[in-house]
Amino acid sequence: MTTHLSGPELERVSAGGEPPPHAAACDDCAARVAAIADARAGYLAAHPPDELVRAVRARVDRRRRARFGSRGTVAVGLACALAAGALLFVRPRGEAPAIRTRGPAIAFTTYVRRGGETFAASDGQALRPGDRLSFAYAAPDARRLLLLGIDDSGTISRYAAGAALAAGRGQLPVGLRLDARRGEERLVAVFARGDQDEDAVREALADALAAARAGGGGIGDMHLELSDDHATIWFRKP
Amino acid sequence: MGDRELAALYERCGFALYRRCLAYLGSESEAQDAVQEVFARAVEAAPRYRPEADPAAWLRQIADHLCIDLLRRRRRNPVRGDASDEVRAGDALDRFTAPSGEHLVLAHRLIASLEPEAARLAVLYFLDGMTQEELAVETGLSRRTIGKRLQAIVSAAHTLIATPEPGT
Repeated sequence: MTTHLSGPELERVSAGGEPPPHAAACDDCAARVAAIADARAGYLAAHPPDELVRAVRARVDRRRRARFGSRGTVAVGLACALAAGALLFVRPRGEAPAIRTRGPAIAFTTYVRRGGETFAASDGQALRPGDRLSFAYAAPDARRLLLLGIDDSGTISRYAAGAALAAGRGQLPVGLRLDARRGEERLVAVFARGDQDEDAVREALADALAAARAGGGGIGDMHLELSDDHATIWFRKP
Repeated sequence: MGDRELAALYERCGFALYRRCLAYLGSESEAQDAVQEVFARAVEAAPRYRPEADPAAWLRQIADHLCIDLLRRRRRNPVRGDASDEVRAGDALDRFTAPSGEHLVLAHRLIASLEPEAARLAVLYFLDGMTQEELAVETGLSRRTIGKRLQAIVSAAHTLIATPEPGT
């Protein structure tokens, strides 16, 4: 069976990489490599490397300055969030990310019990092995719960699936005791109106972590796209 | 990452990334902007980069996730820019993609019709020529899921091939 060069192989060879034996024996692949090399030269002439380097440095510097300048604002925002009890509000399906305080949104709060103390957890909070987590919610109508977690090794754990949640305020019928493993974990509570597709949620979690990692981030930078209402929180065990 | 290292990486991978972003986004200016953003993210993530990994594969992955995010945003805010910047057969794609420009035009039309997650599969399958096994490893999805999703993508491709491009 003839196996022509794959897209990345064509690009690699056209950029001067060592050609595999097939490239020398296949006129079609050799022609494609030559044509891509020509087109590549045209592209680099139109967009030279020094231009790219300047543009990239300007972007990185701009972002660095913006991050440095916004630290005070972030600190104030974090203080407000903690004062408000760190309520995480669920995004309704199909809408842009937003904090909602009224309407059909579902409110979700994670509480930490450590020794005799109980406090509301916030995103990125440092927790300890042995801490016990419980979850409060408020829903406008009856839902079914799926609670999954993904840690920084990419392992996904199921903590609850299919539990019926009544409308109104209540506590999730599941509590967690944190084990001794160090690292980061993100919990996702899905509040479905109908049947739940756990496979789809697992895939979305894995994809979101892969995307965050590709962008140089991790558990704290995940952007989840789910069709059902959901809430999410992440924590660290340093 | 120093300037010389960055320039060398761009000379090696920049054009391939541009073609890839063009297939996703269908606009020259957006694709070139995306290439700059890919390298900016690479510079920022360089301290966490594992030297044993292939930098071209690493940059491709950054480009895929960036373009999928841009497609998602586009779906949420479907405001189009300057229509003259949109890709048409014989325009930007042919200029920088011969001899496979025709395939890339078709790939872009297909990608534009797909959900963002499916768009990445289409790029890996059509542009990169990955097998189902390679796709399963690359995406972390099961072979069965890959098979089902590819079947839907190939059906969409067949429909596109049978449908004339708008304006032609």
